[in-house]
Amino acid sequence: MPSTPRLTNLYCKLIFEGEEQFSAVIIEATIPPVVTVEYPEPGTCRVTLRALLNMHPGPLYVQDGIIREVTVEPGEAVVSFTISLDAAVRATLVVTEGVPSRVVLRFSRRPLQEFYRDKLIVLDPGHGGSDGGWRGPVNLRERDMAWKTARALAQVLEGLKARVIWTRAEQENPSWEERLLKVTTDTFCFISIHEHGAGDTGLRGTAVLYNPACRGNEELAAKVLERIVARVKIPSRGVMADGELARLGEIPGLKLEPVVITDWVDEGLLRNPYFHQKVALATAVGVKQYFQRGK
Amino acid sequence: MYYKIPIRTHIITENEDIVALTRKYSEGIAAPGDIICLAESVVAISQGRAVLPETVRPGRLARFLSRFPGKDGSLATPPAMQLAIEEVGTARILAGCAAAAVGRVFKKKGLFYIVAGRQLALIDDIAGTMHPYERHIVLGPKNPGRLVRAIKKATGAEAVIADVNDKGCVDILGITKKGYRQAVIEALKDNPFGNEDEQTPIVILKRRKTKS
Ligand SMILES: [Zn+2]
Repeated sequence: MPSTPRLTNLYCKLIFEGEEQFSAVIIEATIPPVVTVEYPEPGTCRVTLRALLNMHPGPLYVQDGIIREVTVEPGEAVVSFTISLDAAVRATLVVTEGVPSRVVLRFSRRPLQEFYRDKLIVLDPGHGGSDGGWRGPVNLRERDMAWKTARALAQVLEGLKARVIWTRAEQENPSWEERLLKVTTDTFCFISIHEHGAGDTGLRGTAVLYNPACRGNEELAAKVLERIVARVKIPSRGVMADGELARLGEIPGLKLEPVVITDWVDEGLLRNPYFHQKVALATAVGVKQYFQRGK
Repeated sequence: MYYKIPIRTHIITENEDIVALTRKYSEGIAAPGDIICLAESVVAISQGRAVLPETVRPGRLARFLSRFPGKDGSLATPPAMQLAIEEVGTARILAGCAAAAVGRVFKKKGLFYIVAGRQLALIDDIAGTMHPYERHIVLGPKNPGRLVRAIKKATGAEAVIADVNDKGCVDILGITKKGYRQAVIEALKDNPFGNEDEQTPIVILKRRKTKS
């Protein structure tokens, strides 16, 4: 193979090592390139490689709570990558041998874990038991999809050391009163999960409902909606006040409606297991970004 | 044996020259003896075979039949079934359904596609394809055999068009050298074309230098 490395691939992934989590940026090349890493300002990491570019240089949207985005600038026999970060973390760099060679930059996800550590979050998957909620035109039920997204969200939050309490078991359908009993004064946030239903109208997309009795919840909902819509690339149906959530008083409360399940394109999205994971991660990132705004 | 080099590409859309862009992305990497592999769905998209379900008018037959195939596979929605009917004709679809019904009695799977046409197994229903085509129904590519020969001519390397599903099943639709078939299936099993956020529809299999 020729002696100048050629860059072939760029992606991000989460790495779990026991209790530790990392956000990694990985750049692949035909042979190991010469790499320099700088931090022109806190929250920005610039990686420069002596290499030619074979891959597409378009930006990589990440938004995983630590890495926001990676942009690529090709130059004369060098290629620069700018990694914008949510926190002033620094990377550890490893360059592996082999074909392809991998330039791996690992950023600790500690700032995200520190934010969520020991926070109490009540998860409320809608419906349950004999109440299936809305039904999609092919066969999916709101009850089961809400459960699936809630499971994904619990997994994300518990990985970030939050404490998760459920309002129902898989086969139960408690009343709203019973669900609210799970909320205590030290609850950090209450998150209900439903799907919207609208008959055969062609209405699609995500909405986030909020607790109008708690200050700032409209902005909280807007942040979460923004993250979900960008992540799963779905139309936005906006944020709305929800009368039921007002019963939470001062406790922040959201009701996610990731899709309009009665639309069969939206129903199709629910079949993709990554969809639930993406909604879950986007929600966790959105909540954190709202509460840490201006910091 | 081969090294696997996935190449990140732009989002390939309708009316792009798949031969020219394969050549651009593999420049300086793929040499004679190496194998350039292309994901079937991207080839089909470049040929304008991605269809927005909203633009399909499913007939009564499509609405009725879409209730039967395995719900988490393809053809579970009326528009996808409608496109299948348009691809192979009503008679073959009905024959396929009859075969599937018989198959159910004898616990034999896959008869629908064997009878109705293997190309129908290539129809990716919504959510089976990456952004921005996740809302499209993507049909199988046209003329894969002719395309791989054109790619070989343009690059000097061998070429393959393949479909890899998330269960690791590799289906070769076009290949310039039949003898490489098994090696290619082995190499593509873990789906290096990527899914979701990865956009690597071109994978170069680079021949490892054997130690002498
Ligand atoms: Zn509901």
